[in-house]
Amino acid sequence: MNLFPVFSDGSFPAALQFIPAVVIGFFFGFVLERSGFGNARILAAQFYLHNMRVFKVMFGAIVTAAVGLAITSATGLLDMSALFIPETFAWPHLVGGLLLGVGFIVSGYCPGTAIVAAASAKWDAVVTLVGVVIGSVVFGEMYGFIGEFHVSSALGVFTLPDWLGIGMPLLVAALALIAVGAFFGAELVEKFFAARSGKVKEASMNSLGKLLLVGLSGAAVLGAALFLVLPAATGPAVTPAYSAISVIELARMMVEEPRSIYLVDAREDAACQTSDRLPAAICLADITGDLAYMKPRQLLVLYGEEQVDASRLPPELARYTGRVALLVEGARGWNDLVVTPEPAPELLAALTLADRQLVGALNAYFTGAKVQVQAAAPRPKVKRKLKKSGGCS
Amino acid sequence: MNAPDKQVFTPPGSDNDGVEGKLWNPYLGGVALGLVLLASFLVLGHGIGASGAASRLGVTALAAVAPEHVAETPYFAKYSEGGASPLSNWLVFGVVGVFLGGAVASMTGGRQKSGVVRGPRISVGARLALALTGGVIMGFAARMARGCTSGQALSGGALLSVGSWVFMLSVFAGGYALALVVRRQWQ
Repeated sequence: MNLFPVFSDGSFPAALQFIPAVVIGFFFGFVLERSGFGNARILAAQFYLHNMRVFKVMFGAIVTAAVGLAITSATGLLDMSALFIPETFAWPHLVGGLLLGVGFIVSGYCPGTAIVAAASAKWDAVVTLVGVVIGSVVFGEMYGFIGEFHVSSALGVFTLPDWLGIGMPLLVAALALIAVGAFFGAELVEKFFAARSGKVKEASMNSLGKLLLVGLSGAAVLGAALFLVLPAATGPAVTPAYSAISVIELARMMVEEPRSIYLVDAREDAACQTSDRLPAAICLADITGDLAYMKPRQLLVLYGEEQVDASRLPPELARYTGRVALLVEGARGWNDLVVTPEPAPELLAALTLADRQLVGALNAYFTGAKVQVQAAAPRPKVKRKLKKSGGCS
Repeated sequence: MNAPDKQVFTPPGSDNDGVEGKLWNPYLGGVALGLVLLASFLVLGHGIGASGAASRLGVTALAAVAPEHVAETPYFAKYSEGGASPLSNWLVFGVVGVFLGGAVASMTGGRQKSGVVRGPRISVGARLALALTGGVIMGFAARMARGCTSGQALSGGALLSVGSWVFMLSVFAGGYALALVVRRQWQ
């Protein structure tokens, strides 16, 4: 189903990645050089505001790649969860960024552009690269002192859609529009500061530049419009086909292969947060932003108080690329069969002996009651030591 | 406003900031760079990095001089887990490609000229000293942030990672904060 990424973990020997890595690196270096990133004075000019190429190229590249990722993952071509997304370490990222910015303006390069400039025989870039190598080794030598800070404020894989609670397509569309606005702003800033420092402003808003910006903003408007209009226009007619799962089937999966399911509480967020959830269940509202990144090999099981009304589920659910199943009997059914000490006889009568044993074992496990049918699941032993009183408590 | 005495890349009366040859329109460059980055995601499953290779090169060099010290330092030892060379990694091969691409582009673009890029008011020695200092700071910073402008800001930024965006904004903040102090180097 997912064509991309071609080299997801384990499907090819790692060494086979080296060839495409060289090819992609080649084009990366080529485009950087053609964009003027092999020249320290152009790179530094970003910080004196009379030539904002760095900002234009970087922001343009980020938005272009993000639009591409949003389209390929929305159409199912790309399995977003198989991509390597850098984890967030808030404070190390902030401090590292500030230091890198200082190093950038002092040396005139960042590590990648120094490689490009070194390739065109600029000795200051070669010296910068020697410095980068030394700096990395210094970091390793100092790790005893800074290691604790380096792993602090760890937030895991944490994306802007998670943080802001906005879906990826809408966020990317907004980003593209912000970029176009910022580009026009950058042109004005350049004009002002170039005049002040007696430089000639670079004519980047020629017909080609304008065409690209119009294209970018068009893509953004189209993306946003599709995202906003599509669910309303198509409505319940294309409600995705969810499969059904019964309490006993869910129970069996939870016992036999607990890692193959995501159990998700689809009740109203307030109700979900305050009431008892099924074991290890997460609230739907908490994961709406993550859906596109979650492992599609797992079965996502949704439950409500009773059966979930599929037409009332949020449209973001379509961003989960794996299978989705609805719990037929809902949380109430789970409680009636598994959590209650004595399930109603008519419920048990419908089950096979093996299922009845399973229910008995689960019942004992979740309620702490004595196993009523044979085949016990081990109950975790809880040893409590009485703390000696003393000191403050 | 005296006339600058030595300007390495600035033919009199011509382009800004001493650029020779014609550069791409920056918006075209941005879109092209984004497509290369997208290709990296779609084919390799990850973005592009630059500082990781420098770090691996440093560990390799250190291991040649003091192998026991590298083996005993956990931060270095993890690079050669399983006995593999720290250089046997896609990051290193990617950087080889970046170098080749930069060389081909500068040769065909008429910018392949040996020299030291600097503003009109700074000596070669001072410029090289600053380049080395900035490099050391960046090497340290890139390890702290687990990536540099390529691997963290560009690649992580396109993946909408919050940490990458924090990093990117901080890079600009750090640069602007110090820009006036080192102005003599460039202007």
